[in-house]
Amino acid sequence: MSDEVDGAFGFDFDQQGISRRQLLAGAAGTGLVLGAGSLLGGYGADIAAAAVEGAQVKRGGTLRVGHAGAGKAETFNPGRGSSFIDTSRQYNLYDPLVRVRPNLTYAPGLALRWTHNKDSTVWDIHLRPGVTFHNGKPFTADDVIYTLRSMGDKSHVGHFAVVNIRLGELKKINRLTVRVHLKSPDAQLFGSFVNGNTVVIQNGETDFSKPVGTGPFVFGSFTPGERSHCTRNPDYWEHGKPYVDAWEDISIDDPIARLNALLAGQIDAMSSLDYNQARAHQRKGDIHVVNAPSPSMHCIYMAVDKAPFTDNRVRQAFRLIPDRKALINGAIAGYGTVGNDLFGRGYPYFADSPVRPHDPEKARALLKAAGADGLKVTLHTSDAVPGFVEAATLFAQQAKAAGVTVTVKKEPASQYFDTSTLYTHLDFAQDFWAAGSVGAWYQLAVESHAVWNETHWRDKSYDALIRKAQGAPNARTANRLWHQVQKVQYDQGGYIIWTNVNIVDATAKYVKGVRPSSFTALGGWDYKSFWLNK
Amino acid sequence: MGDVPALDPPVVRSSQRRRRTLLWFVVIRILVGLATLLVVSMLVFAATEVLPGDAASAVLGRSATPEQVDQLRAQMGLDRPAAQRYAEWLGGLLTGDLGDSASGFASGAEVPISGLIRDKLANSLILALIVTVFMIPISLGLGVAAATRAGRPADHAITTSSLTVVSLPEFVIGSLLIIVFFTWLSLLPPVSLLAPGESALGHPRLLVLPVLTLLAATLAGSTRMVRAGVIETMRSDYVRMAELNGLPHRRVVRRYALRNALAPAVQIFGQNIQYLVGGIIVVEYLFSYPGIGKELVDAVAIRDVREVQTIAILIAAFCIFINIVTDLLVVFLVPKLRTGNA
Repeated sequence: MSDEVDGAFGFDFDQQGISRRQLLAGAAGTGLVLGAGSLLGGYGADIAAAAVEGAQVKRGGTLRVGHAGAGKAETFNPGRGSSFIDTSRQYNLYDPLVRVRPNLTYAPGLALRWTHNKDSTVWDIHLRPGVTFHNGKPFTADDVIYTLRSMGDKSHVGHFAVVNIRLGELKKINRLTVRVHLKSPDAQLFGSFVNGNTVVIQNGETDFSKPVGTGPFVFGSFTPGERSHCTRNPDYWEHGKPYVDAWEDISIDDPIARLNALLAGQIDAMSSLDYNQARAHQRKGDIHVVNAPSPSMHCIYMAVDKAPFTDNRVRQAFRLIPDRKALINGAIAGYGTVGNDLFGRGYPYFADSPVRPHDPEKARALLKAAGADGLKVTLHTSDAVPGFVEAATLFAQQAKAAGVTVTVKKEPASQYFDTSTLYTHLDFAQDFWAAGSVGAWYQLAVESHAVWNETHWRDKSYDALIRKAQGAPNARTANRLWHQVQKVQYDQGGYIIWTNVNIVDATAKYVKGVRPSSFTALGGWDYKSFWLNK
Repeated sequence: MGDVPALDPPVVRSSQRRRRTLLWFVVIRILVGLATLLVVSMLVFAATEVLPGDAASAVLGRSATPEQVDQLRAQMGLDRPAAQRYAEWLGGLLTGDLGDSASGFASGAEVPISGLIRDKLANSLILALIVTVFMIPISLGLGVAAATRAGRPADHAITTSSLTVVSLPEFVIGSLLIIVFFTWLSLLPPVSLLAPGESALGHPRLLVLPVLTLLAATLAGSTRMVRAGVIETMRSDYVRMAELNGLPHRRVVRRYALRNALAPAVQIFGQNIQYLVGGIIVVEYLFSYPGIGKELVDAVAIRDVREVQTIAILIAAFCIFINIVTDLLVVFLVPKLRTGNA
C-alpha cells in the first residue's frame, strides 16, 4: 500500500470523474428528467447560468420558508438534527465539502479537489482558499480535521461517513490540504460528504446555540419548534450570493396550515407539499409547484430471517403482488415512477433491472410451491410518512388476488422510526429512503452491521462484495461490482421498492431562481440562489 | 353582591358565624386543592415514566446505538432511581427552579424550562381571556333570550344552532372559518404565525379566527346551560310568587331568575376557562398558534419528562384555582348555600 497521493488519480468535478458517461446512459434509459444543460457543461455552466440570471436578479427582502417542524428536537447542530427543517438550516448556515447539483452530479463545495493514491486508500482533500467563517476566522484544514473527528462520535448522525476513515491519522499537509487514511479502499470517498449532517463546523465548536459556519447565511436567532432568523453573509465565497437580505425557517407542522400560509403570503416557500394538494394547485397555477423526480423511494420490507419471509419464493411472490402504477396513483397522487426493487434510480452504478409486473397468478404458484398458500401476514404502517397508510391499504387489497390475507396495523408515528422500540424490529413494514449514492444506501441498509438493516440481511461475503465495489479503482470495475451487488438484492432481497418518489415542494410565484433538484427539497435547500420578484 | 331578594327565607345566623363558615370553606378547598396537586404530580410522573422511550433516545433519533443512548441517559441523569428524580423535580418546583429542558442537549446549551414556557403560557392566557370576555355576556344574553321565549321561534333558532355547533369538532369549525374568511373573502390570515417573543396582542388580526373558533366551541354549551337554568328557576315557586305580586317581568328575570340560574352557568364557564387554558391543542395546531398545548405536545414528543411534568402541574394548579373560584362564586350567587341552609 503506497502512501503517495498521486495527482493523476482523483475526482474531476468538470468531467464528473469516472461516472459521468454511465450516469448519462442511465438517465436516458430510465426517462428521468434531468437538467441536461448543466450536466454537459459541468460547473462552468452553473456559473454562466448564474451570471445570466444575475443580470435581472432583484436583491433584498426576507425569504420565509415553512417546513414540518421537529418540535424541540430542532437544532443547528449538524451532528444531531436529522429532520427536514434541520437539514434546511445545515445547508444554509454551513457548507458541505461537496455539493450535489439538481441533476445528481457532484460540484465542489468547500473542497475543490480530491486526489488519491493508486489503490484509493489515501486521499488528499484540497480545500477552497479565501473562505472565512462568520466570525471572521479563515477556513483551513484544521476545521475539516475537527469536523471529521467530531463525526467519529457514534451518536453523530453523519457518523456513517467516517466509519472507513482512520480518524487518528488525519494529517494537515498544509493550510488547505488534509490527508485522510482509509481502513479499506474507497474510490468514491467524496460522495459521503454531501449531506447536511456532514457540513463543516469550525475548529473547537461545541456550542450550537450560537452556530458559526461558512455558509450563505449568518445566524441571528432561533427558537426550536418555531422559527430561526438568519441574515445574508456579505462575504460569502460564491460571489454575489445570496440575493435575499435575510432568511427565516418557520415550523408549521400541519401541511394544510403550511399551504394556507403560502397562499396568504405569510411565507414565500414551503417544503413537503401534500401530493393531492400539489395536483390541485398545479392545475390551478396559483403557486409554483416544485416537482422533481428523485432516487428517494417508498418500499415495503420483509425481514429475511423471520417466517414466512425466510423462504425466497415467498419474497419473490410478494414482489409480484403490488400493482405499482395503481399504488403510485392511489397513495402518492401519481408523483412517482415505478420502482424495480433496487435503490438509487438516477445515481451512478444503478442497475436498471426490469420492473416486476403485477402477477397474482405467478405469486400464488410461488407461494404454493413454498407451502405457504392461504398465508396471513400483518403489515405495519404509520402516519410518519405521507402515503404509507394508503399504500399499505392498497397493497392489502391487491394481495387478496394472490390468496394472501394482509392485515394492516397502524403504529404510532412517534415510535415508528425509534430503533429502541419499533424500527428495525418489525418483520413486515414500510419505509421511505433517501441516500446520497447507491453505495451509501448499501452501507446504511444492507451491510450486516448497517444501523438501519431493516431486512436483517446478514452475509459476510456480501459485505466483502459491497466493500470491494466501494473501493473499485475505476468506473468499469465499479459498475461491474455494483451490478453484482444489486443482482443479489434483485433476486433474493427483502425489499419491495414499488416507487421512486418525486420531491414536491412549493413557492409563491414571485420567488425566482428555484431549480427543482432530484437530490433534495427546494432545489437542494438552495436559498442563496432564490430571489423575490415583488 | 346586590341586595338579597325579599322573598328569601329570613337570615337567622349571625354574620360572624357566616364569615367563619365561609373562611373554613375556602381554607379546606385550598388544602384539598394542594393535596390533589400532589396526587396529580405523582400521576403525571408515573405516566411519563411508562411512556415508551425517553429523552435520550428521542434526542439521538433513528441512528443511535444502545450504548450512545445509555451514555446520554447518564448525562441527563435519567439513569437515577425514579423516586430520586421525582423528589428533585418537586423540590425544584417548590423553590421556583423549573430545571433545564432536554432539548438543550441537541444544541449543546442549557435551556431553562421557565424561558420555554413563559411566552406560550402568556399566549394561551391571552387567547383564553379574550374568548372568556366575549363568551360570558354573549351566552348570558342568548341563554336568557332563549329561556324567556321558550318554545317560540327565537328559542328554536338559538337551541338548534347551538346544538349544531356543539356537535362539530373545533377543527371542522376552524376549517370552515378559514374557508369563509380566507379562501372566499380574503379578509383574515389563515395562519396565526407569531415570531418568538412577539405578543399576540400586537397582531389582533391573527387572533380573530382562533377566537371565533373557540367562541363557537364554548358558546353553545354555556348558552344551553344558561337557558336551562333560567327556565328552571322561572318555574320555581318564588319566581311565580314574585310575578303574582305584580313585579315587572324584566325585573323578575334579572333579579330573581337569572341570579339563581347563574350557579350552573358559572360552573360551565369555569369548565370552559379550564379547557381554554389547558391546551386547546387542536386550535393551536390548526392555526399554528404558539400556545401551551403545542408546547406540551412537543415536550411529550421528545420525552422531556421535566417539562411535561412542569406544564401539567401548572395547568392542574390553574384548574384547581378556577374550581375554587367558581365554587366561591356559586356560594355568593345562591343565598341558600351562603347561609348554610342548603
